[in-house]
Amino acid sequence: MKKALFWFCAFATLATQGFAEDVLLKDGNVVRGVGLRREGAFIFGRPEGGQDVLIPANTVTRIIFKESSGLRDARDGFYAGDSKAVLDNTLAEMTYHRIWVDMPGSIWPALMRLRVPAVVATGRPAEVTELLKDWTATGDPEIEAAVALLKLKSSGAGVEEMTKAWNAATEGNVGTLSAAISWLELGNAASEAKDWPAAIRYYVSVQVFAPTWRPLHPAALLGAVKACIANQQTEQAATFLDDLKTDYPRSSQAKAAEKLVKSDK
Amino acid sequence: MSSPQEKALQPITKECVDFSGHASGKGLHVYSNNQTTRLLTLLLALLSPSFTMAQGPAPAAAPAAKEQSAELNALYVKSMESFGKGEFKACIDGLKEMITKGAEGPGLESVRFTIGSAYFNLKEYKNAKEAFDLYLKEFPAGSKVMEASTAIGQCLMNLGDKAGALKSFAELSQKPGVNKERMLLIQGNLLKEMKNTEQALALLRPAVTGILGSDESVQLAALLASLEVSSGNAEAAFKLLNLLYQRFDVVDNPLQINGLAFEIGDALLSKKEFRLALRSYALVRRKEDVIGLQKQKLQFLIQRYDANLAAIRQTPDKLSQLQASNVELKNQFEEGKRVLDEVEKAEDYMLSLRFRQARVYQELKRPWGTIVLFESLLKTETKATAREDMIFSICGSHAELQNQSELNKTLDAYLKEFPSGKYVSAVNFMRGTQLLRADDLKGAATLFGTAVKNNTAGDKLEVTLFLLGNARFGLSEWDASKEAYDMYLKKFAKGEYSEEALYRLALCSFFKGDYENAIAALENYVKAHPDGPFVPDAEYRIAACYMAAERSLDVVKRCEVWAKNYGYHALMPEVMSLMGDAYVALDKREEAAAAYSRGVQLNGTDEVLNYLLFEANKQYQKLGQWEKSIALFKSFIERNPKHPAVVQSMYWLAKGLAKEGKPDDAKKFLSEQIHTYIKDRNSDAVEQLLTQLASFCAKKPRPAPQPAAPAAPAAPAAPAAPAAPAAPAGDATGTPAAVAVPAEAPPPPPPFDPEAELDKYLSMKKAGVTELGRARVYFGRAELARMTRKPKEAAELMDRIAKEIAPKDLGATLLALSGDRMLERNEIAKATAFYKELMNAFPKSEQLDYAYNGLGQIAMIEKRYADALKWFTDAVDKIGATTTLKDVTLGKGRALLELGKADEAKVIFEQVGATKEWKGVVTAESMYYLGELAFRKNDYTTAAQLFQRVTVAYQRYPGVVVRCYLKAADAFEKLGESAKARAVLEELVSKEKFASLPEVEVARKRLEAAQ
Repeated sequence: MKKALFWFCAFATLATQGFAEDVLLKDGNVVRGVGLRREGAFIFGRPEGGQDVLIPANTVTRIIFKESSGLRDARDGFYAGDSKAVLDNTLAEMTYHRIWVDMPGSIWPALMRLRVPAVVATGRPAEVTELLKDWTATGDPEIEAAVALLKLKSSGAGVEEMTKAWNAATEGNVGTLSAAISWLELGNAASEAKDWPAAIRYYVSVQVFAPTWRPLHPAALLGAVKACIANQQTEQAATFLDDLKTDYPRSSQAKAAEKLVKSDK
Repeated sequence: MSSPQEKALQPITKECVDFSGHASGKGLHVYSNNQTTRLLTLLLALLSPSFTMAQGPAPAAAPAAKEQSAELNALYVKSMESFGKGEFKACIDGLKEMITKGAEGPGLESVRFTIGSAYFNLKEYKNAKEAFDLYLKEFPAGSKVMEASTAIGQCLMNLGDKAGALKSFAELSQKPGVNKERMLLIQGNLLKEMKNTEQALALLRPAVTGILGSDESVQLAALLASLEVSSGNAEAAFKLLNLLYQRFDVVDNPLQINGLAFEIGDALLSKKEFRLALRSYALVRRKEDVIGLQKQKLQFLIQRYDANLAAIRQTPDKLSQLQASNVELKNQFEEGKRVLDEVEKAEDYMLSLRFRQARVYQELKRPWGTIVLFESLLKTETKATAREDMIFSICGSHAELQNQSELNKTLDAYLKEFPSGKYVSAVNFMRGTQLLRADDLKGAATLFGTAVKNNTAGDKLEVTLFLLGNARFGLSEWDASKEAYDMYLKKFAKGEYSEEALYRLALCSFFKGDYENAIAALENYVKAHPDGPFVPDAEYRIAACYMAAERSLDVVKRCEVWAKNYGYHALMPEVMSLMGDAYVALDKREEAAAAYSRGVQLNGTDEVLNYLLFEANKQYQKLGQWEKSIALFKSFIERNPKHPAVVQSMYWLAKGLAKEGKPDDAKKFLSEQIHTYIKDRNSDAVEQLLTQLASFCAKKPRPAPQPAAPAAPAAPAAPAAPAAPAAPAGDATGTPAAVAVPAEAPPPPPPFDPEAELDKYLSMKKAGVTELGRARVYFGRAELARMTRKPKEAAELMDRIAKEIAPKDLGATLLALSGDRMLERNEIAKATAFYKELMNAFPKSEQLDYAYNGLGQIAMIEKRYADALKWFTDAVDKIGATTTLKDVTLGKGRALLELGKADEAKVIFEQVGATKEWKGVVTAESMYYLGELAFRKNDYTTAAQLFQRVTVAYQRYPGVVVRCYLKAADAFEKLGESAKARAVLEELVSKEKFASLPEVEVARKRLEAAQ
């Protein structure tokens, strides 16, 4: 009881200082703090010119994390379909936010909603490996389903097994992240098999059914351009190029698609 | 969270999202009266924990005063407890009693304020306003001035005095310390309710800029967005929607944002801002997402509520403040729960969204978007009307994409599901045009004909009639086609296709051979459309009609006029061809050759150019003008180096040179052409030229004519030189007879050596070091060996190609020949490799049918009859086999026979036997198999007759004849006619020319066994 009183007193002072995160305590107090850090069951914060203070994690109702400039840039990159920007800007955020994953108000799931599609969009196995190496569960079923697909693929599952998994992911709710990833992967597989109409369908599905998973769009649109050219639908290839240039003008895929369409003429 | 407290303050906002306008483009309106829920916080915040009842300071409180104070305090606590329980009437009574009993001092401020609040919660807004007015009068500098002022505005609003309320809030918003965003929100909502959109926009626009930080700013943005869209400013609304989407977590009612996304998307769609509309629709959250977010939010409210309860236990002095907070939390929870229930009960709006998206994709000419959307929806959609619309839309999209096969599938799917659907006429029309595209003219004619006959073509009748005519035209059904065009012109005399229909009508007579009517109809067209696009064609065909009428002179005249009028028209080569033919008919070869040659100089089709070239050559030959023929071909080869007729031209050019008495020039020319292309795997011409070169080299050159005696001086004339004596023949030993040879006579030339002659023009050294070059040299030598009757040597050379050169290094012709050679030698694996390479490397080669035939024969040998049947069938159906047509046809019969399809096989064997052009070994084979067929049906008499017919008529084909002898013997045995069987076998054994064949040994053993 004495201990609790001590915490309360300490934070009664803190509350007046200029902290960036709001820590909502179970006793009704709201504490503002910057530079919060975590040592197991304790949360540390240091006010400007002040000393470290402690909050037992089990006394916290919720932490309201403020959006950092990095996170904001990552969101902008996400919207612009710029996977590199998302990856660059979420890297540092990951280190900070991973430790708060068990706290109510954690933005780890939101962060992973940005990063996972960006990792997929790069198409680089190294990025996937890095993501999965120390995967911290988000509690968000949609993200976890997508990560399960990535895990399956990186475990060396064959094309048949993956195709089955991708098809399953696109059944039912077609707008989920795992569905969006699966449309893209199925498009790539169909391209590999030179089944161009199927490839176009899959790539277009990313854009149509998963419009908010924008980092996946440039890759899907480029795939659609290639498939249309191979399917001798030059006019349609030009429309997908148009989408790329309008919505993702700075993407490498827009440049690659433009080159392809030009060379096809 | 179900105590009576939650009922204390009923929500004064009500938001309703109506999604009933599904797929109609209407509805989906968001109704948002106001966003003032948070005002309640102000009202509840009055429960200040600092309230104490005081009578004023007294140095030593009298016991009576103490007692009174205690009573008042008790009354206060009881009243506040009543408030907390939602018993507002009791609260008011208690507080009024306090005042009656003389309560005064600073604590009275809270009492007055609470009375106002309690009236407010009882919805007695008049009393509440009076109470708050009294509070402001008595405590103008009180701690709840702001809250009381806000409450007065609220009361006015609830009393229907919106203008008064607006004025009150506007004044309040100017006061320092007030939450301006909150005030703007109230005013904005009031103005919206008062339908004063312009003023609301003017008020709110400056307030909503950039990032939405506070919760109030989110509500403000939502309100502004709905005002913007209702004012037709869809783009501005869309920008706000994007801002709101980022703060979905704090939005009071997520359905409201979804509704906005729909509404803004629809507004953008109607303004043809398709991309923005699509992006707006993209911001509609899925129902399950909204539910998830709402549940999270409710969970958070519960956490906050529980935290407050815990705090009350730890810090009782904050009871009132925390209770007030919890009342608000409960209120928020209730509202959130109501919204959650609403979302959960709401019909899924994704179908509505998908229809809108599909429409945008159609407008944006993104048919693939429409296709995937509707294909996805069709998986679960069961409503017939929706399904019909969707399938038809998919048909339209495939048609736009010219996805022929997918369009056909979808059209079939539509007709299967909706045989009497509302789009049947359109679907049938599309189906017909598809059949036309696929060259299924019969199918198209049937479909269009049925539509016309049954009067189901609807608004497509005009084009249906025209296409019906075209389909029948393509089928050469001239009368039926004419009937369709006639009907078209009768119904649509000035229709879109009337000119072409009139012209085609004339062509029907032309192609039917009814030249008299054709001339009249063509002239009718020219008269009706003197500047029409078909006039040159019509004039040409009129001339052709005269040609058919054998009026060659008229033809020549018409062609000359035509050439003058339309000299640069694409039909010019055909006109020159016609003119040439007319001159030929008039026996004017020089003019004919000139007309054909003129045509060759133009860019005609391959077919016409071929005709002109070789007809011109024919005339030059007849005229003995080889030099003109050579010049013609030289010019042609230079101008058309890749024309299919080039090889034949080279052949004729070389022949021309030879005919002109320049065989060495001919060989040299061929040698140059051969070596130009000898390393080119794709040049099939090389083998043909090699054959020609070999044929030239095989012939012993004629001795050069003796040089004529020098001409004698003009005068005086010398007597003619005496004829040289005839050379005496050699003696029987072959020794040349001694003859008197003039001493200066040249020695006799060495015996002619064709191989050496060929080596002069074709050698390994010249061919280069490539494997293909080597193979082609072998081939040239093999051809020479064949022509000089050295079959063994020819076979050995061909074997060298097959054994020494890898398939990947050979051209199509050598692959085909090597495959056949290996098959002949029964080297199946090697033969297969050559055929496979031929198929893979030269899929468009004219030699491809060798591969189909060879692989079919191999399948027969390996008893894979179904495979064999497929190879033979594909040879005809897929690649249109010509060279091996007789072999693949016979092969198909054999495969069918082995597959037990005797009747089908019989038809084919009879067909092979009856085809005169194929007369030869396949005729004998077909008869053998007809015999075999009869034998298997136990019809031994017929079988014996057929086998014997072969033994009688086809002795020059030992391979099949010996088999027939044995089978005839078998048939006689089966018939019990052993003597006849024996006679047949004896005949076989007696034939010396068959002695080396294994069948003869079989016959001999059977005869021995019978003895």
